[in-house]
Amino acid sequence: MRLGLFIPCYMDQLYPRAAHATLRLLERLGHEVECPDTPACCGQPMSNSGHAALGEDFVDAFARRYAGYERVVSPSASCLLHLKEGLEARGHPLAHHAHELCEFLHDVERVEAFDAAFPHRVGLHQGCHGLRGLGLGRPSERMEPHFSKPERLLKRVRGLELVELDRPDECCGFGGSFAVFESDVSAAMGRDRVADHAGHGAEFITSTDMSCLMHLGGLAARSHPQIKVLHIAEILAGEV
Amino acid sequence: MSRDRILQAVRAAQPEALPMPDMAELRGMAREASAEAFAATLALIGAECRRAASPGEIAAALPAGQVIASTVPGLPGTLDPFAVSDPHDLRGVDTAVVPGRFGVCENGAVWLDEGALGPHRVLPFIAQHLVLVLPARELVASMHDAYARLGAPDTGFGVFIAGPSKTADIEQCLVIGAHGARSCTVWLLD
Amino acid sequence: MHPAAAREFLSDPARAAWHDQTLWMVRVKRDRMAARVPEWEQLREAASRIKEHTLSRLAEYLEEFSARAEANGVRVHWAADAEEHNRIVHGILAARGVTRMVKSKSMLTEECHLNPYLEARGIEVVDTDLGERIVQFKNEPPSHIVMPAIHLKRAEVGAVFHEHLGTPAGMEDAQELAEAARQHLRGHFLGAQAALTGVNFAIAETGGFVVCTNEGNADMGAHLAPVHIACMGIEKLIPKAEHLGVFLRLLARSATGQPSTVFSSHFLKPRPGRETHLVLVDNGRSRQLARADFRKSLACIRCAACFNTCPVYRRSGGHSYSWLISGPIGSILAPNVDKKAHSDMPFASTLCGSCTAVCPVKIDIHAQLLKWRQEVVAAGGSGRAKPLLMRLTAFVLRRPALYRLGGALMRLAGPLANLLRLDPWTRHRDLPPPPARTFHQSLRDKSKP
Ligand code: SF4
Repeated sequence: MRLGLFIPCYMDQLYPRAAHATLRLLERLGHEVECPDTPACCGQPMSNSGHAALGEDFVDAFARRYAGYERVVSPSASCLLHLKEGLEARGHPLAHHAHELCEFLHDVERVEAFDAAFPHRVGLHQGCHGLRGLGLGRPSERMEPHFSKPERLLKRVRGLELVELDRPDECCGFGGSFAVFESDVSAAMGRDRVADHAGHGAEFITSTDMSCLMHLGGLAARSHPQIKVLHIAEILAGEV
Repeated sequence: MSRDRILQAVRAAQPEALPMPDMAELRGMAREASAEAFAATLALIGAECRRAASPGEIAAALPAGQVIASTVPGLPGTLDPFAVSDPHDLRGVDTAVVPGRFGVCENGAVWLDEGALGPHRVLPFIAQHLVLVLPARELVASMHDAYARLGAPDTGFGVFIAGPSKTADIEQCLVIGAHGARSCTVWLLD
Repeated sequence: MHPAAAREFLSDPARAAWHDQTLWMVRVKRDRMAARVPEWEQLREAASRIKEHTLSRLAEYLEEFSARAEANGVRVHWAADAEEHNRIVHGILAARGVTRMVKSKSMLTEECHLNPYLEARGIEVVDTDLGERIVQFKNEPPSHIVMPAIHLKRAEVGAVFHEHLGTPAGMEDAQELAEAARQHLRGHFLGAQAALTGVNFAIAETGGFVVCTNEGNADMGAHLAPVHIACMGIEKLIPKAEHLGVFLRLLARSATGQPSTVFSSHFLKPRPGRETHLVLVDNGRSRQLARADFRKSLACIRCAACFNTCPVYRRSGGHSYSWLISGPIGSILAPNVDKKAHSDMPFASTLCGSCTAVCPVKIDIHAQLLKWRQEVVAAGGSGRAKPLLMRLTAFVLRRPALYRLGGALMRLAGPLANLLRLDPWTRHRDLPPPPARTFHQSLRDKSKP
């Protein structure tokens, strides 16, 4: 099918590798993928800091630009959640055709195996917006059977060993502008997350959100330089 | 008057009436009540569950040389709470022995109502130790069953007591015996 | 401001880590206990619906409740605001010559600043919940609504008791300290002329109310003193006694991971010859009820599960928030009280949504935090720098050329920022090594013939 790929601005600028991995994953599944070349902000930074009105046109722009695709896929759960909420509020049909990457691979494509090997100990950071917002898994607060789409996908990668964490889905403390305006609490939260992964012998931390990983990776670079962060698309694409 | 002002403000603020949720499903869930389950919950909350065939057996197990105030028929203590007029005079009670109406397996709570407490509501709280006496068949599985059983309250006061009083207000260290009883023994009478 | 207060809290890393881990353990206990109830999520849904229903007919239920309570012999008072609440309570006490009152936990009386009001009028108020007594000695507000003294270590409690109760210096054992408090407070229970309690649930169909404690302090006060005053916010109502089955199953499990509070006391009528007063307080609740976006906050049963799960609360402490009800629920209640004074509270969150997922009455706390942010900013409550920055960001992101230029500059500046560590980001963490080209640059390169 014809897919629209949404790469958020900060991934475009700082994490092109993860974006390419996403693109190739989707192409390998036989899709025709396009990624409109315009600044792609979802408007969440404005909304999160109390300026939702400033962010509204970003949702409108997204709706216009991506309306023609059968489905839209994004490797950023957080941005996608914001866009979906905006689209739902507008009653825009695209709300139901926009997917976070893992959701797309798991629910729409039902990928059973990846042509990928990653013989490493990996910690999965379940980003809050993917987990609690998009429902990519069952958050630990809820008394329902456990499931996690990213986890299931990672288990289909040869040699990959998922580490257990003490706190399986505590927030990393990124939180958008929170990381800047509440930087002390933000960093304290992130350090604890990194320590949890490190304590369980993770060599890599992966996630559905590069923003969480930017924060965690930036902290790990100073406290646990042996730990690297990788977007889940990079692991699933088998390109590391 | 504030009453009218408040009611008026609330009436203006409240949204269109939403339906009252149906409780039938929660109420109707099958749950088993058993003495084993009840005893297990009591152990979990720091209370003790014991069984007796007669009140006499319970009386024999009560410590000697203590001030015991009992409202359980056939189980006299050393101090008759009915003979006390000021509840403050119960301050010296070592052990209160009180009949429970029924116990709740899911949380170890025992329902006591005013009828069981005698003239003083404070009795099970002011005593150093608490002994509750309950017919073994009077157990319900859950709090839904408990309220179904209670129906419309007919006494001025009633209380669910689940174990000895406790606090964890200092560094989250559990301390048994806060202001109420320091121990709680529930006797199931066969 | 929260960020500065939080930094102060974090400046003692060992204590901060202890605070985090201790409250996390309460969350873990809650998880274990909730997991034993197979219909947990159904209970939450029922609780949420009961509360929503009640709030939609609150006026009717208040009328029903107050009429039945009066028929039961309870004297019902209505207070539009904190001032009136305090005046009513003082009036009751003064008319009976009360000079010594014991009080069990009531966040409402904290909200109304009742203690200083009464103390200024010659009435001694003794908080009898152990944690509240500790913070009362220290002249501090509670830092947590269920565990008021959770910010203190036992050595500090020992020092406070040494000073106020004459316990031996250096006493640090929780058991011994609690015993000292028990002896001390017993004297007050026995000597009190009035007892004030909060209310956890008030039942419209019976006119009765339920007070839950673990320590037994509400009962020790209420059943000994000749006068019992119960103070409640008007949102504490539920329609029927059978609804208690839902709420009592949720409350203690959510709060402390116990299957039940030790005492769930159902007050219906005064003791023969004694008085029970009930004060119904609005104090901004009807205003909040009128705000469709924030109405649901009134469903709160004050279990504090949202505090214990909140990664920000655990790492900043209750005193880092500007209102006495802190944590996630405090952050959506406080702006209703004073939007300007508490403008930073809705921002003390990453919007991770754990609060919403843990809340036994399913309050959409994180969504309300986001909505309050909009209201706070619209009211000019976020200063000047932030709005300017946001406008600039939006301006740049809307313009492809500017965006590319800005991005390139940022990528260039990254390594330098990592070295200088002057901005709030790099003070704590590195920026990633900048890639040579952006995603779109390389796409463009590829598509060139
Ligand atoms: S908002 Fe929910 S979780 Fe927080 S205290 Fe209230 S009832 Fe408990």
